[in-house]
Amino acid sequence: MSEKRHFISIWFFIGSLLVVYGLLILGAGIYELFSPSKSQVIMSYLHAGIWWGLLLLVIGGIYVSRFRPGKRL
Amino acid sequence: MTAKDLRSAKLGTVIGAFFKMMVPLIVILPGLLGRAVLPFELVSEPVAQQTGAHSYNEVLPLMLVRYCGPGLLGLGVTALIAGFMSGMAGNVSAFATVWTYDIYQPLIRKQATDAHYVRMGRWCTLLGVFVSIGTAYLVMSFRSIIDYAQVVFVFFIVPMFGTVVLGMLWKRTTPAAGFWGLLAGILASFFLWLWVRLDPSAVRFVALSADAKLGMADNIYRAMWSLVANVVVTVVVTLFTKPKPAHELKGLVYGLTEIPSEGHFPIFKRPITWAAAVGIGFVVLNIIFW
Repeated sequence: MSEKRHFISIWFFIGSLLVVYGLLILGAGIYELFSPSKSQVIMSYLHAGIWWGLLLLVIGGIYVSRFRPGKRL
Repeated sequence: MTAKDLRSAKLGTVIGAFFKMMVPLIVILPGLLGRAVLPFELVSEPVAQQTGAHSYNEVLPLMLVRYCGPGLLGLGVTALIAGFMSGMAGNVSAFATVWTYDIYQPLIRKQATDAHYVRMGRWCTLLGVFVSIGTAYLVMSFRSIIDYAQVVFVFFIVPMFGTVVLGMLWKRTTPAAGFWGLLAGILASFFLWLWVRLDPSAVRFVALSADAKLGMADNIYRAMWSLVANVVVTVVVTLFTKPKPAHELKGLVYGLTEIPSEGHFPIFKRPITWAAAVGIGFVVLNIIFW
């Protein structure tokens, strides 16, 4: 077993964090889409939460897959 | 120190320089955007305290509340708090380390147990947190946060720049000269600031112009005087003190240090290319905003 197999990259944790943030924000955005709250923010029709949630999810996903433990860097 | 090779170390500095040049933009841009899109007028901190209106310094939370719904608002607040925490944690731990290792251990209590120094470091951390809280109240007496940041930078970073550059490039520079030069730069900066604070009309002497008005430009002129004081005192003290032998300066001074090869890389991966881009950016920004 080589030394590299014990190595967990910091970017994996950052990717995981982005995935969690992405899921939470996407979830909140979808919830807002179907049950909008009374106090809407400006330009809420653009559904920024959904887009940002997706973006964070994609970036986090790339990092998690690229730096996942056991993958040869 | 932690870079894997010389090229990474150089590139790290160059990338840092890019972001450093963007600081005014990053700090000022939200305020400008807020001025353009918020339905009310933002005012300065003293006016805000008197009238209850919102000040420029509140622009980020105001914009977050205005544009970010549930979820995104949490991310924005988390980012703000993370920024505060990382800045404060870094400064407080640096304060505790400098006091404990560089002042307390060598000068005050040389032979104590490790547990004693750890305890001292912890108390310093606690003190640092309280000092940070006090500083927040100090900032309220400044025109804006960027003004305060520039005042502090000019107190410490500018003289430090002169000392580091001279010490790194001129092997004749002595430790005493470094100390007195740094002290002269800090004191020059502090007294010029105090002078203008007590007598605002003195800004015309600091900024070398009868038309000079109080504003952030006087910080830049103070930086110039601080650097001049630092360099002049460092050079003069150096010429009157005994230099360190060359073998003690190996690895510290440019001319006496063997520079390892960076390796062969295509032109766009070489630090010198990006350093040149930073240099050009620096000149262009200065021409635009002179």
